[in-house]
Amino acid sequence: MSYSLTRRLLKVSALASLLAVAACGDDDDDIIAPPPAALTAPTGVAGTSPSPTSIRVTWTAVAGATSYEVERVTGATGGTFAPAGTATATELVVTGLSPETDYRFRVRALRNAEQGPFSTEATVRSASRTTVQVSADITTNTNWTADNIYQLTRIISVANGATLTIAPGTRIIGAPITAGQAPAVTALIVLRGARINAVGTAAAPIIMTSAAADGQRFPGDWGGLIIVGNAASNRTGRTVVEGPAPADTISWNGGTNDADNSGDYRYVRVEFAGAAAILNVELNSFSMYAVGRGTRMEFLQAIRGLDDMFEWFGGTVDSRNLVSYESGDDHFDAAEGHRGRHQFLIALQTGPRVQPRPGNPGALSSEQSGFEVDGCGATSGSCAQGFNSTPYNMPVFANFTVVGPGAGILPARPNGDGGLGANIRRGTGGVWMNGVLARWPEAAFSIFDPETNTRITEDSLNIRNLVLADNARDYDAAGATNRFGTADKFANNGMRSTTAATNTLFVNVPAATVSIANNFAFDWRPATGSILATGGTGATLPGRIGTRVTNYFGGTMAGTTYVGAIDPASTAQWYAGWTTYYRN
Amino acid sequence: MRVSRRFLSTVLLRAFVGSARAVTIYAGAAVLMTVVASHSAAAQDAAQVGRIAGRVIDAESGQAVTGVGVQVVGTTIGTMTGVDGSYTIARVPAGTVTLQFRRIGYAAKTVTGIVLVGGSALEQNVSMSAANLELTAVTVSAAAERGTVNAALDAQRTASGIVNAVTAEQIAKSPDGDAAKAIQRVSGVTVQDGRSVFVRGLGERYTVTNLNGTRLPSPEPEKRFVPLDMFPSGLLQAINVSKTFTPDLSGDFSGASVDIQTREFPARRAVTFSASLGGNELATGRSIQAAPRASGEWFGFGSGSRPLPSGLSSASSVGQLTTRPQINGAINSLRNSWSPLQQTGLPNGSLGLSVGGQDPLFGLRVGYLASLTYSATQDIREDDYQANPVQRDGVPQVLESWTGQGSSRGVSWGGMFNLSSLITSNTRISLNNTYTRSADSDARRTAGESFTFSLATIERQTLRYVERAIRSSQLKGEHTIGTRQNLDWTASTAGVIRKEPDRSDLVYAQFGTGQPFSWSDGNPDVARRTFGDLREDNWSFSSNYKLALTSGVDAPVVKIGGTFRSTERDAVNRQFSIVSTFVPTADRSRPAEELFDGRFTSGDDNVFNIINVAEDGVYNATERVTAGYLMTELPFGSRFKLIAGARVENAVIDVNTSLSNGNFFNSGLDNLDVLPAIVLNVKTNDVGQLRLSASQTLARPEYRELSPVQYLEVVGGQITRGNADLVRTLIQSFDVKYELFPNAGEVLSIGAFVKRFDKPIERIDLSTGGQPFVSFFNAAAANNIGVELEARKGLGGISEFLEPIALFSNVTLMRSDIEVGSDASSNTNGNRPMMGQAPWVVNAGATYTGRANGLSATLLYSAVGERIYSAGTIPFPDVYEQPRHLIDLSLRLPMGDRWTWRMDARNLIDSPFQLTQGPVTRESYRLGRNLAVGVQWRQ
Repeated sequence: MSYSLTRRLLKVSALASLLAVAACGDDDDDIIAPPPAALTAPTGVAGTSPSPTSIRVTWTAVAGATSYEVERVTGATGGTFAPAGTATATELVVTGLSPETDYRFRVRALRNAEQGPFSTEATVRSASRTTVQVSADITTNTNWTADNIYQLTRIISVANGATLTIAPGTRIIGAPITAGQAPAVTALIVLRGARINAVGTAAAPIIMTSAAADGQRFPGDWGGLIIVGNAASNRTGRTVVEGPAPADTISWNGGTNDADNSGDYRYVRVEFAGAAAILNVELNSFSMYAVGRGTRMEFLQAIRGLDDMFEWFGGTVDSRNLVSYESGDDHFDAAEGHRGRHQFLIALQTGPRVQPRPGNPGALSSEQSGFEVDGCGATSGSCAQGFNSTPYNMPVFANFTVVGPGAGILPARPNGDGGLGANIRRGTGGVWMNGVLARWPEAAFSIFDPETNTRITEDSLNIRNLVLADNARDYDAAGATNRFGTADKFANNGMRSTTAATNTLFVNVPAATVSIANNFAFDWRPATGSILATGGTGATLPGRIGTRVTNYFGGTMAGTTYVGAIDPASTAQWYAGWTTYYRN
Repeated sequence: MRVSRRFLSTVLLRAFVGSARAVTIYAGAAVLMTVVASHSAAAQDAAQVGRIAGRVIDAESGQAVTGVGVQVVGTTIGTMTGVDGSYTIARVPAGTVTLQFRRIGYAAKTVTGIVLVGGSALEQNVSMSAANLELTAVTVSAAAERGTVNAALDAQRTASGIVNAVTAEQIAKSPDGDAAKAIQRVSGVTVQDGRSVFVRGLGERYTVTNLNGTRLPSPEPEKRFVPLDMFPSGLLQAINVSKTFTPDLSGDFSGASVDIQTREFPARRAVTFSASLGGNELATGRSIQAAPRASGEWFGFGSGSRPLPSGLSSASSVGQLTTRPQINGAINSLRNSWSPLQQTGLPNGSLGLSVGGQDPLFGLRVGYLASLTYSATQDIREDDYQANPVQRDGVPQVLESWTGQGSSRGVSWGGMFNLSSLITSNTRISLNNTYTRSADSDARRTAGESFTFSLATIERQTLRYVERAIRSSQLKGEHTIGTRQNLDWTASTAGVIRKEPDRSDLVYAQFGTGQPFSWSDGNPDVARRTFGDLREDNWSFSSNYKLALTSGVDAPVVKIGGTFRSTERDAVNRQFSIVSTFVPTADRSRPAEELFDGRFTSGDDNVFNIINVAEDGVYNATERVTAGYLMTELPFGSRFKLIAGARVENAVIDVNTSLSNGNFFNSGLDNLDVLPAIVLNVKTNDVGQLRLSASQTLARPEYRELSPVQYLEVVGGQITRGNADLVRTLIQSFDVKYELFPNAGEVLSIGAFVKRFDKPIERIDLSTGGQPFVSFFNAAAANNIGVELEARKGLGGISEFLEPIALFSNVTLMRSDIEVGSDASSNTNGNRPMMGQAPWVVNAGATYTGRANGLSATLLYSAVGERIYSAGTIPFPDVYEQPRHLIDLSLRLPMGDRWTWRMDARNLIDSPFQLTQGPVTRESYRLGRNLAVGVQWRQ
């Protein structure tokens, strides 16, 4: 509304000045030409959709018109018209549309600055996408476009050094596990040396989801996105991708190039992934195996995965602006010598839990966490120095907002309710800073194993400037065997604790007891007076952290004065538009 | 006893033989001894005449000699031996009789001193030696002849290749109740987990098992082996272990071929009955963890009361449970049985009956043997300990461990019915039928701190019932054509089943110190039910033709033959996990039997869900093997014999794996191989023999190993993945053996072997970022070398006082190394011994046979050197099974003609079973000492 008003005002003032010039500058000529006939509204407005993302609008010419202006609005009713483009001929091809969507168009004639009245509205539906069955591995450079839906019929590899380029708005689907083809699990996997360039936009994210209809989708319907790079890890021997055949033939350890490039991933959403062919052998929504720092990963969302949402196995890839809603296991899992840095992360876990599709061998985890980070995870071998295997697992997590479900949702554990904000184990180091862990029913932090405790004393594990809010307890159960998280260890690290209800910390995040509606519009900014608005490290990162965050997205990871994923001073939120929330 | 006797003679004997003059009741342990009862065909002049029957065999080869003239010296009474070398002379005047045996090419033999009682029948077997240039007739006494016959029948001495055997006579003196225990006494043989045979350290993959020469199918879902504990020793004549290949043997013979021979029928009617009673010191009469009973278990038919509910039987069943009442109904359809009970341990016992003989039927003399055995055992695992390691400070340390108790109640029964008859003097037809069935009902309860349960103390309970059956029928014909040709054929069918119905695995955790063990809400890993069902059937036809190129005993021989064998397997494994959405906190400490009694699973209750544990679980396989061979036996002079030939074998294996979504994976292999073999036997002198052999054989993948999907093993629960790219292994073997047979029953031998494996299949551990799994790869190569020593010696030569004592021992020393190779690089050592291979195996023993009172005593010792149980994953060392020293003692004491007492003591030092991984004990338990007593009664 304000936009078109401004435009109108501009046009009016332009007309006025034109008239003034004409009045002052043409003294000699007293003869004023008769005004031409007023412009009429165009008639015969109609449209066709030559492709799922474009509509050609046509109309009948208006006498005296020099050009035409076309406006459009999404949907069969309601909404506000906005300019879609101008044309001198009597047609306009409008592009960048969503497929299978109704659009209303109206057209008016222009004569220089003069505007005619709008035509009546014409409703045109954009064309349906063609579903392309993908049954062969991708071994040469390939483009996937938003005009098609790509249905994975099995685990598809991008192999042989090929690059798969995926256009913004492209939809990729995997069949639900109980109805697919052999093997039942579908997934997209980028092999070492190959790449996917999946660069969506905030308006047109790339979506990878279950093939089932909206409302009929379940966690674990399909596998997810797996990327295998050539960076180092701390595993030895033959270590392969977890999951069903043929993923389980792909080795990921032994990489040598920490600068390896597996492609470009921006504005990508992975939904209802995490399929399992055998209980406890699940894929993750985003699996990053030994992915190198040359890979770009930004603006990624996982929602309703059955296993972990983002899991890094070794490798060095950095990322930022990650969103994880409703995990079947952990939201962020980094292990086996991962050394990537990650800033601006949002994770949310609520109830009621959504079980996987009946008949699917997968199950929700009994040990759900915000972070689960292991130094070298294998207890059954292939960690050459056990939990001290090198390179150490040294991820950096900064500016995270990781919110749990509160009591009574997750399975009970021997030490009380289950659900840890951060489960830090098996000799991992790393950095957790400027983040908030809220509403976790077991504890905010668990530091498990003597090796992990050693990482603290040798300054390889830095935990600082965090807000621990609304958790059952801040650290491990007191006195529990083999647990090393205690408040005194972090007394000088700018740690703060609050019992304030989690929903009061943010502008608009529902309380724990609320079952969140589909398409809910979260506002993750700190509420006025929220403890999150201050208390961050500030620009100068303390101790050894500064040296660990250089060369991050072409600069250095910035320290913040606030805590959590969103700057309270921001006007537009980075997650807006391209993320979503739903149940099935 | 009176009752027993009447019962037997009226019911059982009538049923089997119609009439019986004499009954022998024998009470002892599981071994049945054939006791001969006399019978007269003609009542009229019973006092004046009797019957003599027997077999004539070649002294060198042990083969039947046909066409031998048999005459009662001093009379005109006589006959000729038939195709199987057997003869019967009726109406021989009673008294001391002399028999004369004559045949062209053999030295005539006269046997004196045969005492024939009027109205009775007796058996006289005879061996004949090839005639040398000077045709010397031989005269021996009847008693002496027995020894030479035994020697001739010694498979170890007479075989073309290298054979080690354990015979019914040896088994009878030992406490070994089944074939798996008996075969451990054979040189170079070890038995793993009480049932699978390793020969020369090579796993079950390299051993094939035959019953009377035809292949038995395997009832095991993941490995290919026949559990030998399914064969009660009462049914056994011998177990022969062939260690070298000749072309007339199956080509997938690679380490060894085990041939179980069921007992042959006696020449005269014989009836046997046996029983025994005993116990285990740690189990019998004590309160132990034991599985709740279900009906039918006493005869191995307990699977009927543990059915897979019909609502869960199809692969898509769980996916079709959409409403709460349906889900609750499915959970309620499972038996509500989860926990072992505290019960009193049972005694061990066995019973046996057999009837055999030769009697006329439709004018033909038919040999028959029918036998039934039954045994029930109570085993225990005391101080049952298990641990998992973690690598700390450069060494493995205990990460988590459990202790508790396990027990197993087993029943095993079997029977056979064999018939044989000479249709004409040139044709013998025989029919062998064998059936065995066994069932084990196991229970286990262990508790300890668990790493994966956040170091909570957990209690694990398992109930497991496994039932197996093997049936086999063989129809065999043997023909002689003229004097130089033999033709035989065998048509056989065999089938196995293995059912593991409704195993339950339950994990309860302690939620806080001192709290009761409780249900873990929302955990999908705490309550499992597993249903396994496998059947495999085969049928085969084989035929051999043998032609002697000249007449005479040392004639060159050509043999050709062929085999076709078809095998089909169907296997189903369904696993379910029960996971709760929310069990009220106050109810979590209830036993599972209360949680699942319906209080939380009625109507629309939304407390429990049932999920599939794996997407697959059903596969079937077919294998067709077609083979033909040609081989020659060429004597050079009287001392050298060369056996050479080749076998051509085609195998087509097709494996079909079904997934729960209705799709399939097909895999398999199709190979045509030529397998040559050459054997040279050199007779160094009258008592010495040198054998040299070289051959190529192969080993094919087990069916399921070819299925390229992940599955959960039925046995062990490990996630396992087949590999469709597997190829068969080729094995080159070289053997040399020098043997001395100084006296009957004595042997001294030394042998050496070298085996080279090209692309052996190894089980490899693979890591992922999460759950590890195992798979199968063709390693680059492996070598296996070793030395075998064997001695059996009576001490009579040292002093007369020691004469009743005989000592025996066999020792195998071996080494193997496997190069895993880069193609199959794994997390295990790339270079190590082959799995299961021990550096040494020792068996030793002493027997005492008193001359005056007939007392016999046998003391047996066996031990196996430390061997790799499973290959460790880096950085852990390999898991070794530590040596266990076993000492067994058996006593046999005849009391007059009718009674024999019997006592068997097993596992006398109760050395613990122990698996170690570096300094960590991964598993250990004790099995307890066993004692059994019996008595034998004879009339």
